[in-house]
Amino acid sequence: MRRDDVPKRLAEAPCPDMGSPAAVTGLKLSQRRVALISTAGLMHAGDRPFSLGSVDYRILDAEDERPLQMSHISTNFDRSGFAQDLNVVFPLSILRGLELDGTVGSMARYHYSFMGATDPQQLEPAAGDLAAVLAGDRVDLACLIPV
Amino acid sequence: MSGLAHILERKGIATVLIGLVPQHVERIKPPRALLVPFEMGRPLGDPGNRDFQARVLSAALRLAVRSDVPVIDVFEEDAPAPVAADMEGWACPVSLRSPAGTGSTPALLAEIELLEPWCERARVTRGRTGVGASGMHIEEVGRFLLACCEREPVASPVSGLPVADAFKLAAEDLKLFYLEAATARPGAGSTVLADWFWQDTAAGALLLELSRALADAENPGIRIHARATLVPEARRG
Repeated sequence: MRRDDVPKRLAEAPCPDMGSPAAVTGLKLSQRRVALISTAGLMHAGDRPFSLGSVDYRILDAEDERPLQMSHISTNFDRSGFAQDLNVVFPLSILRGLELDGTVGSMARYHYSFMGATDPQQLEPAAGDLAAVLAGDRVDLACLIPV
Repeated sequence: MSGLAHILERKGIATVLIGLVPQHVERIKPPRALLVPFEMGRPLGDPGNRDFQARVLSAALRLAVRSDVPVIDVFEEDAPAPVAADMEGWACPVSLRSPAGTGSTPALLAEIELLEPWCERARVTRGRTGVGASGMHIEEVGRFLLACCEREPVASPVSGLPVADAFKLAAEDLKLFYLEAATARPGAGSTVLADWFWQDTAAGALLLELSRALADAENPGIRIHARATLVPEARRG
């Protein structure tokens, strides 16, 4: 959002002190293996929906043909974009295009979704687990996408 | 989201992040962020516009090679305006005869019946639908929510799903069904669509009524949803 368009209550919401960021260095972008991580509360149809207090994540398999659904509990964001086009929230086929044109080295098969609007410190156990999963899949760049 | 980037990077996974709320990104300082000027719910900016979305995603990914963290870059390009962004330029594909403020059974079910072919048309065109997270057919969704308006639900209509979750997911399925059907005719912006849903449909009237009727529900989950997650803050009375 443009800074001035952010509602006051949201702009002034408490933010955790996460300290100084670490910096992982790596290969050129054209050699990286990329996974998407959304906080839109996405899941494959039939998977367990997110609910109040969820701090875990769902696996989004690029080869799974079940449709992606959104079970984020917040109602304070637009869903008409998602209604029209998955890519506006979760740009999997856009990333596939960037893989095909060589912008990125490869697209991971598995991607992930949390439900945002959660204290990040509560996400730490699941995020730590996910980091190991990503490393095991040779992912060396995670692209985090809010909603 | 910014906190998640900190955690992953500390665990050895490089991250780039698209940021929607500049004030939060600036305070949490994730390793690498691209601030975008789009509304919440549309982090890639423009539905159906692959070239634009690719520019946004590429701009974020290009930050990956930066090690001078924290890096906060800005994507300056606004999302293109919808073709018919004003109120006069778009109309719902079908004429909903039910006046606003009537979340009655006949009105709601009549709307669902009128919109269903358009939702199906959208599904075929897009090759997908996001409706169905509740596990109920849309008519079941409507009947369940109408019943909730009469009496607080005590049993979930979906096996294995807590009743509060079923209530919330049903409400979101109903909204999304309307939005998918309405956007089968393109050209409306998010504000036009929200105005239409909350002011001109029996479904919007029903959700507003539910937010009032169940604000003091005995089930704490239903109470929270009625008070805080059913109706957007900007639409609450």
